[in-house]
Amino acid sequence: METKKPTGTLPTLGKVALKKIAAPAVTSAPVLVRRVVVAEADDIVRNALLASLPRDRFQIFAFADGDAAFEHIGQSGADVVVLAKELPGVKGTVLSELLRNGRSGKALAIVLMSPEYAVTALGARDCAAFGADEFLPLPTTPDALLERIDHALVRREPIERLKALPAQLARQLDELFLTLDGLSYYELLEVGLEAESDEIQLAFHTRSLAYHPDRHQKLRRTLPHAWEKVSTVFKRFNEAYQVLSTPADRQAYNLGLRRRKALRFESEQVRRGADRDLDIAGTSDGRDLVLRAVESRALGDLDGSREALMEALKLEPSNTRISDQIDAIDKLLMIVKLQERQA
Amino acid sequence: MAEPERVIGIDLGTTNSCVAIVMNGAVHVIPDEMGAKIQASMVSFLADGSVVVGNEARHEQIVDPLNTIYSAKRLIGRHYSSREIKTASQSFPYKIVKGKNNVPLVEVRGERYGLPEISGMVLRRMKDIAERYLGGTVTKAVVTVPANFSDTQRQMTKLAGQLAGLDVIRVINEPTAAALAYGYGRGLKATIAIYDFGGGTFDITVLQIRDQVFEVVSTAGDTYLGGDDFDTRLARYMLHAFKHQHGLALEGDAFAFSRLKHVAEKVKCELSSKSRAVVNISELGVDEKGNHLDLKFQIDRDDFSERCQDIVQRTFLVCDDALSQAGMRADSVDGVVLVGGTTRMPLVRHMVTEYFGREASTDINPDEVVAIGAAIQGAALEQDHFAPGGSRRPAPLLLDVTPMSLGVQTVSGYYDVLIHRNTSIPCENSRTFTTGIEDQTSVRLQVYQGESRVAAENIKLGEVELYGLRAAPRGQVEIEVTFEIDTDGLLIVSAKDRETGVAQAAHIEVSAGYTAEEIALMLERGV
Repeated sequence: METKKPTGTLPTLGKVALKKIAAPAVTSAPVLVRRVVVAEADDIVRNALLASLPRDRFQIFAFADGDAAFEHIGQSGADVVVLAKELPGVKGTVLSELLRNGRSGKALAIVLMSPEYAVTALGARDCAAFGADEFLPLPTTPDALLERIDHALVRREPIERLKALPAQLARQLDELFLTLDGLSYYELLEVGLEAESDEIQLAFHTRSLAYHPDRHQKLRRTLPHAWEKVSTVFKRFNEAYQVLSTPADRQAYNLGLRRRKALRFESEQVRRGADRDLDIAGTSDGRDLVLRAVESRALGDLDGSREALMEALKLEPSNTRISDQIDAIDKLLMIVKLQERQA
Repeated sequence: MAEPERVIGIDLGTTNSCVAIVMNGAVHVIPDEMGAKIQASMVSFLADGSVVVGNEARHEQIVDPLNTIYSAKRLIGRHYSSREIKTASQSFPYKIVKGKNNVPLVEVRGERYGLPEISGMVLRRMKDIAERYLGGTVTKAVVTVPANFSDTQRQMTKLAGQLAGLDVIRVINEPTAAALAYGYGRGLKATIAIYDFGGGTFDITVLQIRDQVFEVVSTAGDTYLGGDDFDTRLARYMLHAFKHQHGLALEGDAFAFSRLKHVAEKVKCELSSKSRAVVNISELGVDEKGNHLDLKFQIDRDDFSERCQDIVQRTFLVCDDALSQAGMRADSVDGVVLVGGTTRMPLVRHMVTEYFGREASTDINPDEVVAIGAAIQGAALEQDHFAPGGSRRPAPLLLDVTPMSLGVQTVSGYYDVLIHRNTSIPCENSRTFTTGIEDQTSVRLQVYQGESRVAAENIKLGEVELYGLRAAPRGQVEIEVTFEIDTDGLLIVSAKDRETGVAQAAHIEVSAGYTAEEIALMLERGV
């Protein structure tokens, strides 16, 4: 059972005070029939959605406005909600956020719908920001709707409830799986920013022993969905370890973390940039040098980057794109020097 | 109580194979009906239509080299047009032909076989040996591959297992298996190097062991460097000696060369324990008058060593690479483990000691160590009955790496790396691709493995086609493609539309691979 206490004062919304809202009851295993709440203003669309849901799997509650849906969920609970982005009363996006941050939001599967490719349409990426698990572009098909609902349900289904793993491990896994994208590599491995490589390795090994997919072969056969979650979590630990145990990558990661709060290492962008920039040189040695320049620059070593470009220019003296790059670096160097002087 | 599922560990070697199993907490290397623990990885097709596999086939090789397949591992999963196949076609006595989709096939007695079928026959033999010894059926196996095997080579090895009626629950790297055999249960905290010099391949792997966790730091290898190279070198020298004695050149005589290589291997082994070897090979050639000519040949160890030093030297270039990837020097490793028959040569041992500045560990049999490690990993994956020595010792955990970078070709023909070599597995990386023209309905990605900046210089794994894209102006459809390398070291590709979050249909065409129908046919036929 959910035992978390409500936190802080809660805002009120229209006539419904959030405080009065009971938590959407967490379903207990084995679950055959799921309670689904559909909120969509357009009668035709709503009816089409309802017709798509098999009655043997779902107990269906349909609403034409956000307030009514919200009230119903507050009083009776739900396992999965399918919300239109635009709704009379409280909007789908706001509702999604509220439900997610509500007392039992962690266990609730949320699917957000939006007309496909409209100018104001939501994308899959925006949906996550509103706390939704899945995005469903409209118009849709019954299969697509069910697929989204099932995805969201699997995502929110706590492994703890499956009783397939030791309770503590399952709890940690559920927590990690849902918060993965909000944690830095340091937070994932629970090490400090200054941690030595030995400490990082030990942290990774400890997690590997618990989360490595090889440790859960039985789960793989019996509950592949749960095994996928274990693998997802492990792969992120692995990513964190790879970056933090490679000094150059760690340095670049720290930079991104400080400046842009980038939680994941964006070597991809660096490399993609490199690939584009490589084309400015005409010779293969020139490209090697330009690559070195791009890499040095990504690590914040402007002098090293300039040096490599100068060498490339020696090989290709008439290549104006290389000299343009050098000019650009010179300007950057000047700015850095000015800033140092002011400091 | 139900009989627990048994998992055998098979070292499928280029030259020799070996099978082991963990029983009652102890590892057993399984002997055949003759008591031999090592089997030749050879398949011979006899005139009466029967097929012999293993040590029996080794005898056939001397008398019938055209119909005896050896070193199939050198060919499996390669493109017909690759350098390796070309070299093999020139030096192997049996016939290699081109099949559909650039797949190499071997032709014996008018029949064509895929390499997975040949390797499958060897695996079937190992399975039979285990079943005879255990007195029951065996269905699960862990099979080892060289660390630097590509995705296609791993896939084909798995297929070989399937053809032999085995569920290959894991493909693991040979050096990692050796490390497991060496370090499991010893409570080590050390950095070790596995120097694996086999019949046809060389690998070096640097590992860090912390109790039961075995973490591979880096690995590097040369799939065309092995004990065979010494045999070939010596056989050529014998040809030279023969010419010197009789004035008759035998180059191009496959039968004579095959005999010489066989003798050369014996001489090489003899020189491991003796300082001088003398051989007499009768009736090697025939002169124009029809007289049979014999070869009297002798060589001492120092002369042999001198002639082969450069072969061993080549392994250290690979070692330098692996160590620099790990950020280490040769003298900073705590231990060196020798794997593979070639490490029995005093020359190799001497040069390895010099290179690492320390004596290598010699307490495990280099021919059996890989199979032992595979068996331990097999038991670890079936943790439920992994209880060595009665007490439940914690099962080991392997953290292995991918040996080659994986990437896609860019528009300009460059190679865009998605997963760098020596990245710990399982891992994944995503990249977004977009459409270049209006209402484009499909995007094709060329997937490669290798280290060259130029895509075409790497090994092509295949093409991923994203099809049925929604109609939109150019550049508006963004497909996020995720490349994952799983615990077998195998590639899994998935794709989704970034805007809608909908999974994108993708089709993967494997180059130098078999079609689904061909595989179905092979499975039906079995080996």
